[in-house]
Amino acid sequence: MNRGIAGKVLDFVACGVVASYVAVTFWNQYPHHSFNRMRGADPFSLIPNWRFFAPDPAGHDYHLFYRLVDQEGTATSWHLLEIVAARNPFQTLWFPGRRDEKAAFDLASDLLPIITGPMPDVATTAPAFRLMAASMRSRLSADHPPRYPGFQFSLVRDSGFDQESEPEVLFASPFITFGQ
Amino acid sequence: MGLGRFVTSFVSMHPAVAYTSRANAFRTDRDDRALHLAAFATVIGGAILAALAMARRKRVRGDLGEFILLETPTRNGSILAFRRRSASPTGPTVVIETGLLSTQAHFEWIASRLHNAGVSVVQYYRAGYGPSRKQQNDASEYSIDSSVRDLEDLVASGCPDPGKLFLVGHSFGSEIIRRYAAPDRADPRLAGLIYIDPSHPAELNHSDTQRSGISKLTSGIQSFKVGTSFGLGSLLSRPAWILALPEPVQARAYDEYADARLWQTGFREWSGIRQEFQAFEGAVSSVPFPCLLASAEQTVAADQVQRDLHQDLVDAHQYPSRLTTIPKSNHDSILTSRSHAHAVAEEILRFMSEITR
Repeated sequence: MNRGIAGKVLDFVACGVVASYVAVTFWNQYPHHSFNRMRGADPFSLIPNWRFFAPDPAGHDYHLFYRLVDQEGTATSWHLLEIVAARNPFQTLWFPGRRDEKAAFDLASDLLPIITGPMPDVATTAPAFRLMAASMRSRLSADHPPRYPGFQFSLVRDSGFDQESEPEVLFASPFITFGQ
Repeated sequence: MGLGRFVTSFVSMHPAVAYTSRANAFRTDRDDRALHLAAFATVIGGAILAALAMARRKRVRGDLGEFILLETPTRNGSILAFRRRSASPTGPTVVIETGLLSTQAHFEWIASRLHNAGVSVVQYYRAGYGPSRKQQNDASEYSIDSSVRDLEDLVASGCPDPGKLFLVGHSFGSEIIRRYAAPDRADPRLAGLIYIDPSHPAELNHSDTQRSGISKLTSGIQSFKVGTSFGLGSLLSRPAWILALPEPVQARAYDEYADARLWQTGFREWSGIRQEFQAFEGAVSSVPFPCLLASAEQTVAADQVQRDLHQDLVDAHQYPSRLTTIPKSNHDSILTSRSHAHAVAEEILRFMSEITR
């Protein structure tokens, strides 16, 4: 008997939790991002968003190019830094390499408002730039010939398979030394 | 794009889909209480939001605080709420004209600083904002001149002191005070104009930055208007500019920001302003008063055209007009950041002292 009552109470609590969750979810779907007060109290992002891909679906890919600069200031030609891993079916189950692409994309997205904002000069002090520069330094420093003490990188945006729009160079970094 | 994650997402939905399938529809042990409870909780949630929105509306319209209502309606039929913080009856008076979608709290840093320096300060809500009301059943389109008429009536009734009069306008509010200062209708006490990161009537035609922002601004205001009109104002997070204001005015600022009236009035105003600005041709007419123009550094650093338009405004005024730039400020922080607002207030005090000397 007691077990039956306990079960009913548990049922009711479970229903209440689910019902509250549905109600909170429903009232937090308004599309404008400023109506997000409850999400501020949701550190684990438990309130879902109805939009399928993301709040603002990505419309572009970002690519990083670099060139090495020797002590005389002469630069090599630009090379693409390969970040995007080739796809295979196994990645459906396990794909840690995806994080590199995601990080590069997120850093570029963080840097973009600064580059296009009113004070683009401060971009080189932004955390996104410093992370990008540190990551490239770490990747390139292992196998660069010693006569190249530094490098420069650029951020390029293109629209992937859409051939209508031209790739766009968003940013070219200043000279960065490997020794920093 | 990492679409692999959707494989697991779709699979995880299978139990829920299976539960609602036809094969399970008539099972005797089926339990839909959670569904009904969820619908009930959603309705209750909506009722709570609506109740909060109604209580907020009551506070915004009814809780006047230090503001009082103008005794007689203006020529437009508006009933305006205003506050006069008097200093010396013979000293200068500053009347503040806010920008589009602004609250009175936006000017709290500047108004307090000016008042502490011995200046009488008059603040008021334009018709439709806060406790001020436009004429009932007025469905007409907004015109900037209607706000100029309201300002004239407010100055005539709400500023009885005989001292010199200065008008301060931020953003679009600058256009209202510029029109007020037209030679044929300005109050004889008027001594100068102060523009804070002002709008220029030609900016939508001349500035690519402004022009490209039209649709974004329109859809942004529209989105806020719809959301708050449906009672979702309580879901608005508290923006950084409110947290930068003096603590005593933050709650009031949030109430006004989350209330649909601000967005409905702002949308109506923006529709009228956009039409008038887009139709503007030629040059701004000369103004027979000196002015101080304080630009936000980020506004003029981002757009050379905007810098030129600010200079154009200054050039249309009498000597000793001047332009100054508030370092590191942007269009909003020039009012809401304490350090930027105080820098503006100091410039205003210097300008007033030059004029009244």
